[in-house]
Parts: sequence; C-alpha cells; structure tokens
Amino acid sequence: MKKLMSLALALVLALSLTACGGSSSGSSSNTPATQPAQTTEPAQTTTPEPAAPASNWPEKEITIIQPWSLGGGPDVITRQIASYSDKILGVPMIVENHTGGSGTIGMNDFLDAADDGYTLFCCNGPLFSLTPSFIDVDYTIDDINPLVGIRITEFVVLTNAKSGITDIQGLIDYANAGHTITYATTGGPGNDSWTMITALFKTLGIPCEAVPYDGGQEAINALVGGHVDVAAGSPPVYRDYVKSGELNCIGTFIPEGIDVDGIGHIASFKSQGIDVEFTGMDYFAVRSTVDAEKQAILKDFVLQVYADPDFQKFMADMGMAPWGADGDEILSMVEAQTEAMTKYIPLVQG
Amino acid sequence: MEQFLGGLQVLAQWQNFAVIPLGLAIGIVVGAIPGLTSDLGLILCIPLTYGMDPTMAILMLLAIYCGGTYGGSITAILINTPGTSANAATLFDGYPMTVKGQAFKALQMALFASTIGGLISAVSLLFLAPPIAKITLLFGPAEYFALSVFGLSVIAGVSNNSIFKGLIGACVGLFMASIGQDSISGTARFIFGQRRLMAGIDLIIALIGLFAISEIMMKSQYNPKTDHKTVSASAITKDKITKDEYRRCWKPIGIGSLIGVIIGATPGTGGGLAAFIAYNQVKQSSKHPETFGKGEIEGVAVSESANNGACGATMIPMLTLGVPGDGSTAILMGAFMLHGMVPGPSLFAEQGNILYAIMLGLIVVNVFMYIIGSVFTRFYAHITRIPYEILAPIVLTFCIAGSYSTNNRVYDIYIILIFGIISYFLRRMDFQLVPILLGIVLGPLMEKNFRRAMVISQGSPSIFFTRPISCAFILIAVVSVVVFGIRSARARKRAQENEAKQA
Repeated sequence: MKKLMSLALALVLALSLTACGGSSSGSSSNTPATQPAQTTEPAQTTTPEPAAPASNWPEKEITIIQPWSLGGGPDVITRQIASYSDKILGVPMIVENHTGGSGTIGMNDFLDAADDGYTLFCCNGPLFSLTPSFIDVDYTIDDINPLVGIRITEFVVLTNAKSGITDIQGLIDYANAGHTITYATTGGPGNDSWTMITALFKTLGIPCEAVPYDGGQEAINALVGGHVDVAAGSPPVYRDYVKSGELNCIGTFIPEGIDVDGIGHIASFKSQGIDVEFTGMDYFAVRSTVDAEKQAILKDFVLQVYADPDFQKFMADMGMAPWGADGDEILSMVEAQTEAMTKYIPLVQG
Repeated sequence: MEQFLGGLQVLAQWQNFAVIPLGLAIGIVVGAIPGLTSDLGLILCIPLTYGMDPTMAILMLLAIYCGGTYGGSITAILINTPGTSANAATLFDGYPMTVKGQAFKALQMALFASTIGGLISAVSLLFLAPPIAKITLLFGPAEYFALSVFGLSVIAGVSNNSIFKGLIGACVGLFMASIGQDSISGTARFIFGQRRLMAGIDLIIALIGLFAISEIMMKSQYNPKTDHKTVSASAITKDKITKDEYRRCWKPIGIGSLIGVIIGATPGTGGGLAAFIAYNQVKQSSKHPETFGKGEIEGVAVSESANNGACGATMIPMLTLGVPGDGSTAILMGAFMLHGMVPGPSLFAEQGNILYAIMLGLIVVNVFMYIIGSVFTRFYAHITRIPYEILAPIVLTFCIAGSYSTNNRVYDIYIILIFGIISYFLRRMDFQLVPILLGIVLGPLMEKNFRRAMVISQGSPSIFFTRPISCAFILIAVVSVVVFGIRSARARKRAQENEAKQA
C-alpha cells in the first residue's frame, strides 16, 4: 500500500511537471518534442486563414539562429520581427541564441543545419571581414546568401565630459601630455568596435590600451563611471548621456557622418581628415543552397514587417531604422568591408 | 508622487492580478526541477506575453523570475541539488534538515525568508533605485575584482574545517571557468580541439553535473530494502516552525535581505553570490557557528532571504543603467525592449507610470508567492516519501532534459556526465562542492576585471589599494579570513581540551 502510494506520488510529480511543460510549450512551440505532431497534421485543415499564400511553404516553425546574446540590440530586433511570423506566415518563428566564439559558434551551427529554408541566421559583416583574421574558421561568404538587411550599426566614439575632451584634437593633446588613452570596446580582439577604435588611435599614432567589455552598454557605463578615457557606442545606449551632457561625441566611423535625434549631426572621422571608416551591418542570411522561392517568401515576410507602423515605431524608439537592403547590396558591402579591413588588420595586429 | 499614483492606477486591473499566480506557478515548478531554471521559464514564456500590455507582460515574467528563485530551494532542500545557481547556499543546511526529517520545516522557512527578502528588495527598488544606481556606476574593474576576492574569501567559512581542500576546490572551479575563449585576448583555452567548448561551460550545465549527477552516483551504495525510511504522511507536515525559531530567524533574514539588495544591485553578480556572502556573515556572527551546516534553520533563512533579496535589486541597474544584474535580468531586459521600453537613464522620465506599476506589482508578486508557495510546500514535502529507487530515474531524466534544453544540443549532456564523474570522485575524497561552484561563478568576473584593471593601471597592482571601495573589500576579505582562522584554532583547542578531560 505504501509503495503504491509513493508510486502514485511520483506519478503526480512527473505529471505536474509535464503538464507545466505542455502549457508553456504548447503555445510557444519551443520544445522540439511537440513538433512532429504538428507537421504530420494535414496543412489544408489547419490553415483556414483567408490570405493563404500561393505556395504552402512554410509548413512548420522557422528557427533563427542568433549568435549574439539575449537582450542585446540584434536579439531584441530579431525577436520583434519573429513575433510577426504567426500572423504573416502562419507558422511560429523561434529565436535560438547560440552564443560564443565571437559569433562563430552560431555560424557553424547554422551551417550544420539543413538547407530546407527553415533555419535563418542573424549575420553581420565582421563575421566575414574581420573574425577570420583572429579566429580559425572553416566558412566563407560563399556558404551563405544574405536575404535582407536588419540595421546599420553606427559606431560613435565618446569621451566623458568631465575630462574636458570635446573633439579629436583634444584627445591628441591629452595623449601628447604623456597619457596612454584607455578605451572601452564592446568585445575583445576581432570585435568590430575593438578593431575600429584601435585603428583610429594607431592611425593617429596615439599610445593606447583597449579594455574589452561585454557589449555596448557595459562599455558606455565604464565611460560614464570614469573608469576609461574613451568608449565606442551605438544607439540607443549613449543617446541619453550625450543629451544630458555627461558624455561628448567626438566622431563616427560612418563616412557621411550621422544625424541623431536630439543630438544633431555627428561628424565622421573621414571628414575630420582621419582615414578610418566603418559601417557595421546586421542582416538575415540563409545557406546559399536554399531554394530561391523559399528565400523570396522569407524576404517578403521581413519586408512586410518593416512596413508595419508598429514595428517602425519600435525601431524609432530604439533610435534606429529598419534596413531593407537586398542580398546583392549586402554582398557588395561585405566585400567592400573585407577589402577595407585588409588595411586595418595589419595596423591593429602590429 | 504623481507617477506613483499613476502607477497604482495602471496596476489596479484584474488582468494584472490574474497573470501573477500563473507566472509564479510556472516559476516555482521550473525552478524546482534541477536543470530547468527561471531563465528557461522566461524564454519559454516571452512569446506568451506578445499580446499582453507591457505591465501585464512584465509582471508575469517577474513572477516567473521570483518564483523560480524561490522554487530552486525546494530541490536544494529535498534532493541536495540546487534548482538554480542562486540556491546553492541553501544546500548547507536545507538538505541536512531533510535528513533529520525536518523537510517541511525547511521548506516553510525557505518560503518565508524568500518572501521577506523579496519584499525588502521590491521596496528598495521602489524607493532607492536612482541613488543605488549612482553608486554602482562607481564600480570599476578594480572594485569588481575586489568584490570577487571578497566573495572567494567565503570559502574559508564553508570548507568545513579543511581549508586546504576548500582552496583546491576553488582552484578546480576557477580552472573550469577558464575553459573557452578568453574574453580579453580572444585566445581559445583548454578546448581540446572541440569547437563547441569555445563558448565555455554554461553555469547551469556545470551545476547539474556537479550536484545532481554526482548525487545520484553517491547513492549507488543505496539499498532499497534497508536504507529507505518509511514516513507516514501525517508526520511530514507535523513538524512546524516554532515561534522561537521565527524569532531566532529575524536577524539572519534581515542580514540576508540587506546583503541580497546590495549584491543584487551590483551588475554581473546575482543571487548566488549574495547568498554565500550573507550565509558566511551570519555564520561568523552567530553565537553557535558549529550548528551551521548541520541542519540549522537560520542557515536556510539567511540564504533564501539573500537570493530573493537580490531579485528586485537586480532590476535597479537594469532599469536605470540598462545593465542586467544577472542572467535572468538580461532576459527581462530583452522583454522590456520587446514591449517598447528601452532601459536606461531616461526610462523613468518616459514611462514612469508603467514602471511604478511594475515596481508596485513586484510587491504583490511576493505576497502572492507566499500564498501559492504555501500550497506547493505541503505537496512538495511529500517528495521525501518517494523511495530513492523511484526518485533517482525521474531526477536523472529531468537533468538530461534540462541540460539539453539549455542550448538545444546533445553535447551538453556529455558535459554533465563528465562533470558528474569528476565531481563524484572529488566527493569521495571529501571535497566540498561549494568552493568549486564559487570558483566557477566568480572566475569570469574576477579574471576579466583583474585584466581590465591591469590595463587601466598599466600593470600596477596598486590600483586595488588606492581606490577606497576596492581597498575596503580587500580589507574585509582579509579580516574575515583571519577571524575565521582564529575562531577555528580556538575551537580546535577547546575540542582537544575536552578530549584531554575525558581521558
């Protein structure tokens, strides 16, 4: 009797746990175990929506492999885009964070996945233009096909207002007074902000030391707290501090300069006579062997999201704009960036 | 004040109060399964919140977070495996209480302490967020390094008189933490040609391997015929907390909550570290430190109040500076952004009403947690009656499923098995697991900030002593180790005298 009772208890425990798992996964479809059941159901009866696409692809959930950490800029935008999938494509879109190895772990997992179009990758330029010079990788740009752009990353170089440095000349004078400039970057060697600020200071011939942080917000906080002399940032992380006068912008790597809401025009280093430029970009990619028709459906989905006013407001609140560039444009930008990096990499490694 | 009232108005909708119990129930169950953490519960439930309005969505997620941090204590107490890393300090006294047959009492105290800690944390978030945020900005690399040294000094107190083994354990932990790509120079370390090890070893994976798998292996000597003690259902819930015990626990809960708030508000640390530091402080200041680690109810009280005390406080740097206090808050921050609220200095000005509604809601979450927890506690206490031969396969299944679900890869299951085997042999050689865990938790924080500080000071270690906050932490660390040394030497002398007298 006692044994029976305890068995029953064990069963109840197990059931309560599976019940919970079911309740949370049923609606989010995040557990692989529930998927086979979904796919075997006849598609005609389960999709009674009026605006059914001509092709019945996709039939099951789509996974976006996100090589960057949860809660960061690309992750938040990707998740916001994915949340539209149920409505537009009729299937859920799941974002999985495969972080580490400067994005190469996610990239490799993505290339290991089937080329059936059900796996997307949140890609960027430096994974091809920079990372291979710092980490041994076995992928090339030919393995992927850029689908559509996500956003342009506009790196700005900032100083703490208390230091009294307001422009690049002030920084040079500070260094000439015998100081070694310490600068906070959003990641270690091979990271885009690390490479570009290092290239900036090496071009100027200023003595400098990088202090790598984990992500843009940490780097900006180190600057606000007065722990480093310089930091790199992209919107929205630095905006408030510049508006309140705690931080100064001394220039951006975007060659045309940028206009930031509430701050005004930030001049490029190029316009200030320093030959360093960089335009960061995030974009969705699929494996290059994915069927063209499927690629078109996925691209069309993302563009529909970009056209949604709610989504545009969401991006505006973050201080960014959706970047709807097509595959060819992205490819040529990545190629140009790779070419440009051959100039900077020896500089920063030397 | 205007925003405060506006917040009350936003909060006072029945839908908000409906999602809180749901979130808590999910959190407690997820937290109580080794391998499933509140992080996972949050990720699974974020899609559910897409359709909700921001206040409702964030309150549900906060309920999962708080419930998970409390829920993790259930397995720590019952099966000697912390449900989340925040509950590791609950092991010290929680499991010994279960062995003594006081599981229900321990669960009750964990719930009570978690609730009080959570309430204090929610109130500090409500009233002290901006000033605390200003202080955390003062924390540079030197301060973080000193804080982690202070954290490691806890080892002296938790090594059960074999400080040498404790130190070796911490080194093992620090070594495990160094596996993967070095974040400062990008060098791959100890990856044995395995690409997947580049990302390092997930804390939760290490935790399952170290505690749960080795615990099951330790029980390999277990004989169902002779070792299983049958306990009647009524006896389990009979042993309740006495008035005297409540009175005794007020001080530990107070210290725990306070330390929880302070450590929680420091970005990058979290509830686990808070619980260890608080536990050590209470043990050292106790009149009867020898009872700690042997089923002392004050030990459960302090660790659980500290980790839940960190829960609300981790939101302080997140909301005001945009820096998450720990892993779960990083996910919460993503949820805030998804709902159109970008954490940072201007959030209070722009979305004050919603924020106040959320902060006031956090108080409600903690009150609900006590009510729901009381129901769960009664139910969970009976788990101790399940014979181990039935419990072990269930736990093992959850561990494997949990470790797989962390990154959706089978690779992690091999890692937990390898960690389990290493941990099993260490335990057979009488090593404590907690110093290893401290090493794993503090390793990255310590290393990164040491190297950043060295860059900033251009290689001079004087930076740790010339900055006041950093110097203070190092002094406290030294003093607490010395005090511990003197105390244990005295205790040894007394024990020798007693032996001599008896002889």
